[in-house]
Amino acid sequence: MDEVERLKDELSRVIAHRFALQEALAAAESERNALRSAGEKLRSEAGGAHREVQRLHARNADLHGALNVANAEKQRLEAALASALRVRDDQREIAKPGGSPPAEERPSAAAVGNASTPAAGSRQEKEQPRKLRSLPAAPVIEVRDLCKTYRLPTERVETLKERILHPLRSSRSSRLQALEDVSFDVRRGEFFGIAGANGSGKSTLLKLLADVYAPDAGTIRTAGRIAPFIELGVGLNPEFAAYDNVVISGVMMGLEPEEARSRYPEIIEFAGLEKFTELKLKNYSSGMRVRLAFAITVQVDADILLIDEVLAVGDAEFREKCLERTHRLRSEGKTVVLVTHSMEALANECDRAILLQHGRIAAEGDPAEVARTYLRDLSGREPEPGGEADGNVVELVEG
Amino acid sequence: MEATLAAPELRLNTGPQAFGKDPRRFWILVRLTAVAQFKHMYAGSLLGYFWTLARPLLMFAVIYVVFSEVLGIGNGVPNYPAMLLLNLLLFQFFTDAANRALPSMVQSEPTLRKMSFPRAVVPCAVVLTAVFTFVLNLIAVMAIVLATGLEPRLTWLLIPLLCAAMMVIALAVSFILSTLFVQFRDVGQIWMVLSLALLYSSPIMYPAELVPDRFKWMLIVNPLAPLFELMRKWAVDPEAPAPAAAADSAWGWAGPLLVTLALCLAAAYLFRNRSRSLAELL
Repeated sequence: MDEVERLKDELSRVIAHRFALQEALAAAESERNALRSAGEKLRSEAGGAHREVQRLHARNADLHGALNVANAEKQRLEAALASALRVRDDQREIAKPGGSPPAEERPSAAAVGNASTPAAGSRQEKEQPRKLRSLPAAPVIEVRDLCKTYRLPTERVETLKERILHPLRSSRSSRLQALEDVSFDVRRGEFFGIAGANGSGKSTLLKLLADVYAPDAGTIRTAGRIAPFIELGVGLNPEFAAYDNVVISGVMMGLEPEEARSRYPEIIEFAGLEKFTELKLKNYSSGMRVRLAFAITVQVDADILLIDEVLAVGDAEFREKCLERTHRLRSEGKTVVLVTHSMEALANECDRAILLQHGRIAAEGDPAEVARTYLRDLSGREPEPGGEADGNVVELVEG
Repeated sequence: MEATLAAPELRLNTGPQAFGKDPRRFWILVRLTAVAQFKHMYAGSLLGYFWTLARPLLMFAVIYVVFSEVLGIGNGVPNYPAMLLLNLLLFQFFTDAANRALPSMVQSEPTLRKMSFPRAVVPCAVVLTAVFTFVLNLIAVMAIVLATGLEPRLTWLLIPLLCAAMMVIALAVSFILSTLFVQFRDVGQIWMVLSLALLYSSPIMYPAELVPDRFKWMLIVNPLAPLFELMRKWAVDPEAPAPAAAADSAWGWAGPLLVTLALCLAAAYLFRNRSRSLAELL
């Protein structure tokens, strides 16, 4: 009997245990279901988020496309503006007798320079809309019948003693006619070129424009402040450090002292002379001096820049910087007068040009024409047509 | 856009001016140049200023020994050392300005040939630099003179007048020398002799009353003479004769004044005439 009782107890305990297990199982199952549904929910949410991400990606791409379109439009408008300005100048050219029609002008300008240079290439592209037309800009330089004569230094009375002993000697001295009856106008915003062989009077003309020399006959009238960059310098004092030179030159070119001081860091940076500010200028290399002088010239807010042959010196990087800066000044409405031996620069950069020969104007107008005249006179023959041949001639001339 | 297009008026190029049309900008340029020159003189050498002061002091020492101990000229003169020192200082201001102005135009050649600025800036800046040095030296020398027992007087306040007068003469001479030197290079030699003559003919090392009667005219034609006479009278010895008494005639005042005026006119005339062509003559 005891055994039966014991087994009954056992059985009831097992049954109770089974119930407990069944309950646990049910609880586990319901928990599994809950988790599964939660998982389901999360998965669906993740899907939504994913779709959202994809949607945003698509939107982003759309916006990029729109931006590109806008950029392209901007470039097109800029090109159109540049071209319109060109056309305006050309129209003025046509209005003058002797100006050649723009349709011929542009390609020939590119042909005289090396046809493969980017500047020449882009010039041709900017050729589409010619709607804008504005009033002719006012002249900012007006030269009339200008004459300049030098007394040759060898003939000069050098001492007071000679002057007293030979009071009449100076009257016998021979004279050199540096400029004779030169007349031209430069209009606001123009890039004006002056070409000519050595001794043709280019530097004299520039010094007269800068009011460093006084004319012997004729008149020069200029409007606004002039920043001269003559004979590769602005007259820096070799005994002073860069700072004093910047301030003094800046003031000479029309800045207030405070303005000149506040521009000093920019000037030094443009010239790339940050490491050499402590040195006196006499310890600078010639290249460093030229860079400093040019940096001052472009930083003084002048209305007219007179630039003498800066493109012939300095390394390629600085030359590029100079060109870029002069372009920027031009787009700000400044007038640039460039004296150069480089016919490539003349044809590529200038709007108009004159050619000086023995102190007289030998050609005036389209820079490409002027460049051709110069090269023809130089070589005694018309250069071969075609970009390659012209490119070679230019190289020879520049070398 | 319209505003930027409003063109500045066309103005006639006249060639470089003597003084320019804008006195304010003229003064700014003179000041900037003079300060840079002054810095350059003393930069890079600790003893720079010491030498500037040492020069008149050493000269003083030599002349004092010769004139006082050897020749005995200074013996009867009250406070002779103070008089000698102050006069030498004033004269050194003059020669300092003139000697450095003489080659100044030639030395500024690069600037003159490339920039159009009022040409008078060059000599004016040199004179202003000399003024800086002179004022520093005067302060130091006054301290020395006080230390040697000279009593301060009210007339010391008049000394700046002498400095101003000396500056006017120095300016005129600097204008003339710097302009002439561009064209005539022997002006340098002539000036060396002339400045030596000025040093000995002016009552710098000796009192004016020692000048014999037949040489009194030297005190009348020398524009610097009254400055030294007055320096002595105002700074050192109130009993010393005034210019009229020293020269024994009213021309003691009028002569030097007229010569100064003539120098100024000559300077202005020469400079106005030449400033347009200076750049070409260089």
